[in-house]
Amino acid sequence: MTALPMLGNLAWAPVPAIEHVEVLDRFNGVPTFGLFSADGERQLFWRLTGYVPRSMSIWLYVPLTVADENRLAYAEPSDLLSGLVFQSRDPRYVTVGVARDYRLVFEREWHLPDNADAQTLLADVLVFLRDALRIALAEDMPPARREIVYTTSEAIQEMATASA
Amino acid sequence: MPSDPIDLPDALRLTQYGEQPPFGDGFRDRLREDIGETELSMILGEVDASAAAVLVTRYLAAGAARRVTTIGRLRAVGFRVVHSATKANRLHVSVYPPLTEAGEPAAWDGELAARFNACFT
Repeated sequence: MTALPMLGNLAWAPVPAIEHVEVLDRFNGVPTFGLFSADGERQLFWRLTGYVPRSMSIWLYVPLTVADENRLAYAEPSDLLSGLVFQSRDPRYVTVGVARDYRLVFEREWHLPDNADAQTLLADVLVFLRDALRIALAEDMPPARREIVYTTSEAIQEMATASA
Repeated sequence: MPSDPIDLPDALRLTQYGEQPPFGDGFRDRLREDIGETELSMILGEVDASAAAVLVTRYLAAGAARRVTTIGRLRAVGFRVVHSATKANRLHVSVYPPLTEAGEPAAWDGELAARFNACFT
């Protein structure tokens, strides 16, 4: 069973008992793209957006098959996400995470859209997160948690509107 | 700090990737070491905002912006510049703060941020 990212963990090492992290790219010293292993499985992590924010970033976690890993090993640097995240032909369930100061504050499983280009993917992710955060806000939660979810929801709403 | 695999001449241009609101906060001009930011990332050479976005984010990110300097301008005010290619970005360059007289990295405070910003056109 795939290890799911957990709130409070670092965005690039998001599961407990992580065995290995391979950083393929970084920005301002922070990993942005790479692979991690946990529970005998490998997942790709990628910072989808939020490279120069005050605090918030959105991350995607993609469980990898052996075929995916083989493809990644031989892909050109500019083509690492094609077929895996962009223009994916296989149904894939991934996890979308929102981090503040690189710590996860919200996560949900998401069905990656088939054959989506980057712009479609980003727009779809923002709409998905906007709706998921609205649903979360309708639930009972401690005031401190509500404040985090509320400010995250406001930021996602602003980005979703701007990218529509 | 990783070793420099190639000697970077002062005349070489560097591009810094940025993001306009609401996607980002412009350009980073200082480290946030408390949350793991240990260097400022640059791109070797001058590229436009779209190319910078693809190199950094892997797609044509909304709100992409860029600004340009040279290695010489950064070095002239004390910053240390190192070519630090990653597997996914062969053009990655790291900028570190100047060293103090004691040989320690200087605190990246408001004064240093102003010095950094003044390097860009």
